[in-house]
Amino acid sequence: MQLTLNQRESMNENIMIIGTGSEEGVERSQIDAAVEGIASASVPGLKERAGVVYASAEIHAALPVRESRSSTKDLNAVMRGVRPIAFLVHSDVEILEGRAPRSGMDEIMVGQLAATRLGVPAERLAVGSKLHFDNRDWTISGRFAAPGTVMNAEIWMPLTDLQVATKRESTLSCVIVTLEDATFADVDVFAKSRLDLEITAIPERSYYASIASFYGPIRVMIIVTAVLIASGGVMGGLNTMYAAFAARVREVGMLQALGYTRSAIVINLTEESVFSAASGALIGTVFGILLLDGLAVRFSMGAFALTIDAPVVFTGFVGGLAVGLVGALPPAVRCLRLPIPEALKSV
Amino acid sequence: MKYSALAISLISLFTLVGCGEQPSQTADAGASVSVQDVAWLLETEPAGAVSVSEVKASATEGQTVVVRGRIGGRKEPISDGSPVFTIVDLSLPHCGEIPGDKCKTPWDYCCETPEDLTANSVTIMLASVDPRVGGLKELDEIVVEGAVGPRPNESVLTVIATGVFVVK
Repeated sequence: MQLTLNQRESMNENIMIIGTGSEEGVERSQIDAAVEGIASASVPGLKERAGVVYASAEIHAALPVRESRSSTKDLNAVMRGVRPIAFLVHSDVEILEGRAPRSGMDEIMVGQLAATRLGVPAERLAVGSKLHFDNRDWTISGRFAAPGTVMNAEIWMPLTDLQVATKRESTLSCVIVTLEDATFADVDVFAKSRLDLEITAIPERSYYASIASFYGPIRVMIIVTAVLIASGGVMGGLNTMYAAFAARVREVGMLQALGYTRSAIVINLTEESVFSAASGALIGTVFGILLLDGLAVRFSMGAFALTIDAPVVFTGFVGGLAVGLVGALPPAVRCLRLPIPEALKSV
Repeated sequence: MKYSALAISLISLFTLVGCGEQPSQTADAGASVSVQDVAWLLETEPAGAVSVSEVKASATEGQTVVVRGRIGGRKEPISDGSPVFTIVDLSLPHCGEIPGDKCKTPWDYCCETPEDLTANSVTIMLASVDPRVGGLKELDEIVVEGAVGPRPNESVLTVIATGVFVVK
């Protein structure tokens, strides 16, 4: 979730122009539709190709959609109304299947994780199928991917269509511009100078970072829960070791009687323990990769995919080895504490 | 098992401590700031200061003005690396002056209507890159001396500052 909200490197170049006072949620922002043109003309150094300035006028809205006209269940969707320039400004977006929706044709395009966001099977959002909102059916004309960003769980549609659907023909949520020679300060000067437009400039990365900080307490709760679960695992591991070693007290006594030193026995028991823990960690890692990697999880801003990458595998494996190492020592010492005759007599 | 509870408590405690937010770092205005960087900071208050609303009602492009106001008017009146900031007329109470208001960013004047705020705000532009270099911060009362920039309409007024005095 943190990675999804922190977004991609390309976001370093994007600046959001949103309504003053709406810094905590672009969905609440309302700015004059003219801001797009005024910003393009007023801020020198914005990215431009073939005479087209990278300034994307957008509407962001959370709307209830239904699977069909007859359906009674509302599904919460995050919609983004865009013009074709949005595909240049948001360079992470890639059309996987189908094509971009056409204006006035009641067409939409869905992100890779939109199905997770809506809580429906992925095949339900196949190209050609329909969703129902604003009293009409909308045909899915394409599917897109924007991996590791909130856009991946959104539904995109032509700006004018969403303006009509949300009844805000003369306002936008934001204008997102891409910098080339310009810096953030240039856009900030424009935003703060045009007090009449009531706008604020904020780097796209900072915007999503501030949203991520909103989830800080939830993150702490998740970490504490994970630590408690891991502690349970450690305690379970220790218990198993105690039980396993307690059953081998006579064997340990026998080894001592045969002349094995205590340190040699401890090393032997620790090796056994680390070997079994490593096997368990390997099995756990394989299960984790097979069952959890890529699993989509819904949250209020959209959806994110769980990633079992190298650092996660490494941490899990080292944790497993640590359980094997630390878990072996206390029961091993307990086994060796008994005098040899007593150990040999124990049942 | 008596150690189990202790272990869980310790691990949880370390986690909570580890997850705590780092104290926010504020710019050390005193460190590595050359005299040139803060040449616009005035030692004495310029004479003849007028209020933001007065200057907004009458100032014309190119006119030299001295205006008094408070830094604020939005969540981030001063942005990192940007030479502009906004000030608000002193007659408008900021959220911190309203009894019982618990606003975390009282300088954003969120309790005022956007129309009132726009009518009582002025943009200040410095030659220096960042106003924080001179130690300016939100809610500071300041007196600004400078020339009025282009005014495409009556809501827009940018003062290109030559000097800023911070009222103690």
